Amino acid sequence: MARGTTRRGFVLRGLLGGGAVTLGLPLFDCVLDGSGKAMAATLGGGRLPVRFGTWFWGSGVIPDRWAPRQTGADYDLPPQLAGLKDVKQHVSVLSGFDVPLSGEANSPHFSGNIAVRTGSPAEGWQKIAAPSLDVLIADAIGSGSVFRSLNLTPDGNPRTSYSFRNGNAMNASIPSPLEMYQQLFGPDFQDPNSANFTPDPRYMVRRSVLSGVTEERRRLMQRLGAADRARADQYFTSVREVEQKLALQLQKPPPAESCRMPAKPGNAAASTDIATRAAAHKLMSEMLAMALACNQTKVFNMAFSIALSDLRRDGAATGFHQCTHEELTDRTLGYQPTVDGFVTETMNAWGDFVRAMAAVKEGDGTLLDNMLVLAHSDVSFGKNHSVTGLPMMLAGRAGGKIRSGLHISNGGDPVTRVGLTVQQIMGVPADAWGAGDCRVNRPLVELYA
Amino acid sequence: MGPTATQLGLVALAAAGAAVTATGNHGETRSFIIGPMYMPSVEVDATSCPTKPKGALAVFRDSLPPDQQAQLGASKDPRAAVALMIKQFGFKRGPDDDTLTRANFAERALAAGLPPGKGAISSYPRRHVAYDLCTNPADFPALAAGHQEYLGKIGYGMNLDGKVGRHDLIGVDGEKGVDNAWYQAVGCANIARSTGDPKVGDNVIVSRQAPTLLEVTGIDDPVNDDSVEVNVYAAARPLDLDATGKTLAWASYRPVPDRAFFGHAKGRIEGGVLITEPFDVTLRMHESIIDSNRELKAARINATLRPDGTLDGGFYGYQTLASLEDAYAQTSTIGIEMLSCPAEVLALRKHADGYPDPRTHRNTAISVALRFKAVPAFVVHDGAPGGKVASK
Amino acid sequence: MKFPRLVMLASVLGIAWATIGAASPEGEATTPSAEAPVATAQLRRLTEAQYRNSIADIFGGDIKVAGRFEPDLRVDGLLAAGASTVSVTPGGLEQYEALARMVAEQVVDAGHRQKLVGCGPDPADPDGRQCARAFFERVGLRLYRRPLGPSELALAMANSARAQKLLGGDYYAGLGAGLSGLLSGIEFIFQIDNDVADPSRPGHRTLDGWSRASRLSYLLWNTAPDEELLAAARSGALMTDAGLAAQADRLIASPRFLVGARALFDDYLRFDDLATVSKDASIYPGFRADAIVAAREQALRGLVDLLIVGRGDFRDMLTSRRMPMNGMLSPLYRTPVAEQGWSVVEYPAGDPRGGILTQIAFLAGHSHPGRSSPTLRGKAVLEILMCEEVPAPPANVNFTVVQDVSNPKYQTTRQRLEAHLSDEECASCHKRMDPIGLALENFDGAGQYRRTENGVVIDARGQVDKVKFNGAIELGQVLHDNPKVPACFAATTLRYSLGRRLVPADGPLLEAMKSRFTAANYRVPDLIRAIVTSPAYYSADLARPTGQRLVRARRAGGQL
Repeated sequence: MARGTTRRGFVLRGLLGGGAVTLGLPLFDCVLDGSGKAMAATLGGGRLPVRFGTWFWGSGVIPDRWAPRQTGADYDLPPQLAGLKDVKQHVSVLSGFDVPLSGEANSPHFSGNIAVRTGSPAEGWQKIAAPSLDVLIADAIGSGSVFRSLNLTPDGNPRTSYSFRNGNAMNASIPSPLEMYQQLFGPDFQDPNSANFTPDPRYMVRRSVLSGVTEERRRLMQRLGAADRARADQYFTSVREVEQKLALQLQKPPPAESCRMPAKPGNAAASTDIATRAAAHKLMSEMLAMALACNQTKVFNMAFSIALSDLRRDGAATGFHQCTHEELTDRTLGYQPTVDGFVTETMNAWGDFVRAMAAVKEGDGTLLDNMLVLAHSDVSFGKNHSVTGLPMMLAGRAGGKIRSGLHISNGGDPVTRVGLTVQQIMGVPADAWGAGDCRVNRPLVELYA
Repeated sequence: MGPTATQLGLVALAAAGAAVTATGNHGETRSFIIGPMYMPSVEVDATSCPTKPKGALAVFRDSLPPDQQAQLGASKDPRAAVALMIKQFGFKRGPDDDTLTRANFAERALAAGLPPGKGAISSYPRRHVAYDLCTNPADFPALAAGHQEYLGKIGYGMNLDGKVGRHDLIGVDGEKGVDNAWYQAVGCANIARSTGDPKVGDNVIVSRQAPTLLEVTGIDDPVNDDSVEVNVYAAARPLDLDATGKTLAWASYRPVPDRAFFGHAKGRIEGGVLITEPFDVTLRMHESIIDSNRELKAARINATLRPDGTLDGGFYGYQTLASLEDAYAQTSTIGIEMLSCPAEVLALRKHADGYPDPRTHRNTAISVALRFKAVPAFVVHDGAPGGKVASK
Repeated sequence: MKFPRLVMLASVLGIAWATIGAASPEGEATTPSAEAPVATAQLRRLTEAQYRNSIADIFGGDIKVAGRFEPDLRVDGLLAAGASTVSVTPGGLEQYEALARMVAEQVVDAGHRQKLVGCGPDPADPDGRQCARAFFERVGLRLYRRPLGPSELALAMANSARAQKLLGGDYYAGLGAGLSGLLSGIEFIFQIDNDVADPSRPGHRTLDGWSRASRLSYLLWNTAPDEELLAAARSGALMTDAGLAAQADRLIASPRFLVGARALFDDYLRFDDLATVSKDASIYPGFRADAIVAAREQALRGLVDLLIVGRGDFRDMLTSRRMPMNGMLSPLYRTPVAEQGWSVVEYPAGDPRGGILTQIAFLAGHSHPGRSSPTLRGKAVLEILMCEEVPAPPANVNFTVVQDVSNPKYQTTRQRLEAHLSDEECASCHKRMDPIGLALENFDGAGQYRRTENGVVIDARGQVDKVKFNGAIELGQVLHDNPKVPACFAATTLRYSLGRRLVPADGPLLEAMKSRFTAANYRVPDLIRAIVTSPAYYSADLARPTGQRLVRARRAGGQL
């Protein structure tokens, strides 16, 4: 692995009162992470990085109006996806993948979501033992950028997040456009295209005081039970990650051709009104595109709405979720019209997201070409909490590794085939993934370029 | 840290349920707070307003020799014209002075060089003494040129004097003999038109800093009751707005102790409409730079108690010229483009139709119609009996 | 193995370190058997409120603490219990690091250093090392809630010295950096139990004095131990029954106990969920932006007044007709108030308002933005007040609902929910929740009273545990008389105090506390005092999963 003054390696000699003190924390990455693949994907190597993200929405779809009829490339756009017309070539639709419950209860708006993200359903947060797949991917490719991953939601609630190492360790979301701006483009932002760069000694100071090994800590670790030790370890791992992030601040970031500082957004209050939510989401998507172009992160999660969906329209007493259960099917139309409206607008927001990524030029193509996004919901048909045919979509071409614009209609394989596929594409060394009836080992080779 | 005896239940009165009022009248009390209140206007046309009234600045420009007009007209900036006007007419403005009051006005005005006995306090952007076309409109009759009186037949209002005079209006509901000389005097003016349009006026809260409370007591039947009483107060704190920016319902307000703003009348309710006998009352009006009052004489309330609990209708009576002119005086030169104080004030004086001054025999008040919309509120008095409250 | 990572870290940072690496992470001779129960947690993360209160008490209320905290986790209904399952995510640590820096910078700035540091480099102490030592010893004791060990003190001083050099010789900036390190430490962010051999019960383990000080302080005052409590820990007084009782009584008698009690009620009623409540402005225009904050305050003030200051019967919270009121809430209650600030109103007999279930915090907090929700309200009563979990739907439930296309017009919520109850799959859960919440239908989604819904008079009949009632007042009385409610509160309070889920070994303590609560006529201060003066509360027998220890604990039974 590369030593010296690369983006990942960093040595300070003689600065700390004599002696060569290696503040080479990234040294540990090489020894302890063993993530050689991650190195290849970083910036120093001269190739554009491939990014990964998830996009989540609550309360599913109306399957008959969401799933295309034709398979393969050039699939038909069903009514709820009509808003994706101009970006259809970037989006693949995956239908017919189920969540096998294996005799466990179908915890409404929960089991399906957890199965997609962790490889098996669970009945409650406390029962989730596995990390979400974005965390696995971030472990593989996330280091080397300022944020290991970015968790975002426009709904104002930091608990709206499905990214976690286990059920007790949720990665909180940045819950508004203004806070996103402050965190990403605030005082700690280093413009990669700026001509001047002076390493700020305050980052050194911050890093140096964070971790210290003391006799007392050693004794503490000795006397803790296994569960507490694991929690303490998690704390120390988090310390390490923050130290790495601070170390990066001491190096001039490599230039990023498409990086531009976005405008500071206003301080609008979060809302459950779908139009207001979509507007905030659009702002955050555009800022995310810039964050990616500026190489602030390589992994992200955007939750458009919380599981179950809190969305409604101002002035209407009944929101999206209640409508899924209470609105009667219109005899003439053959579906629930208000629900259909909510789903369509949610899918339009997904379209906004794809469009925002495709709008940024990068290399020979666009930012979207160099990323892979997995969009999914917590149920398929909201009315009966069904988890068969859980709706999933992909966007982007992962740097050319996969084709886009396909409709793959499956015959009931577990949803985990999708999770396995995206992990493999992103370089996670996994031959198989999932637990119990959700365990799979066959990726979706139809996607590969 | 806990509640004390004095904290407990000092609130009563004006809640639903039996309450004994000051006059010993039994029955329910319903109280309201007024949000929007304005002098309503009807749609005008070429017959009712043949010409468009000019603002004072336009009148001034038109009075200048052509070459001067051209010179001023070349630049779109009105400030040159205003400066010329000030110079020509000798308007005066004293220095900013936040300690100005009506009590020390005369002394400060003299010190600022105003003509003795002239001028008024203006507040924009800060308090100062001023002498100009609005503080003393009668001094500048030349700027009244181009005034257009309302020539139409229809107008809002009530028949106040019981007579159907030749010049009286016909009400919007067809009532004959409507007395609204105010409207006839200034109804064509820009301000009357735009803010008087009910579509606008019904939704604009005025005097938010000093709203008016109405307390209707002795209600046995809210649809038909031949004997109720009405108290009018000024509220001691600003109006609360709800989450949509409209008047908040069911908030609690104390009346100001100053008896000058207290009004009382007997009345009745017919078919859900509250009608009072005529009474004198002064309503507070504090709106942006204007801090004035509407002094009403022989005002009647005629307002509908709606099923949703709101009250809407109007005050119909005579407003004193003095209180009208006080409001104009405070506008100073602010409205100089839209408004001609000399035109309007002189028209109001001409059309004044009530309360002749015993010495001068000139009428000192003019008939008006003031429309309002009110929502339920609690009027809270001190020392009322009982400590229990009820929710509605 | 994770440990060697720390080892290398230490050596790289040039800190001299003696016996490292050879230590086994287990530290115990016995290997836990497969059947041994999981140990109870010894680490409990401070809640956001506890963090803030600690900083305010240690450094002064004018120190600004601004920024986001990692969200606390609710386990078994309590954030306090979640404290013993969470750790710190990387995002969370970033936030703690930012907060630490913010606090430290203020503590050493020109406006504060005289008061909070009180010394600096001077002729007697040219490099300021003695000052630094004194500062860290004093502050470290308060922050870590025990004296700093020698290696911790050395680390803080070394960090400061190094930072001072890196920052161009600025002494106080260096001190601030060292302080920042302490504030970012796991020892500050988490309450960490330490146990010793129990002097009064051979063979048992109990929490040491410092841990007891921490427990007492965070439970009773929701903040870090004050100097008197720390002195009691140092002297060993907290290890004696008399000394412990004396400190418990001091803390409970103090006005600061009201803060601790508020925190308990706030967690018990899950009020932090209120932060995300919003109402549709056009449907409920009277529900202004600050109404939900005022509603939370109303409920908490009312509980503190009734149950702590007034030492009232806990069950009366369900029926009491007195409640705090202010100008933000009074329009929603259609109640006149004499002043816009806080006062107290009392509703007469026969009025629809009385008890916590008729307060807006509960009613609006468990509703939708644009309408009421009998389901959410019923669930809240079951879970929060009766400690009954609404179970997950059974496996293989077929959610395919019968589609009635005759499209009736529902006028009331009760009619709308009939569909829930008439279909067997939905009813399995809903028949437990809906009938309770339907009794509260006279209050809309904003908590405002209504007699009718869409012109139809509201039918507010319901039932719980086979007892019927009509309307909110009767529901309040039924719950007042139901023994599950105070039993649930006692259990919740014990869970809150322990800061974790209950395990089977807690059984005797729980039963004892329930009995004491009843015997004390349901007085909450008495319940809390009983908990904190009970030796079992400080037992550390469950701290480590060794077969021997646990067997001993079981044999001895619960000595309370």
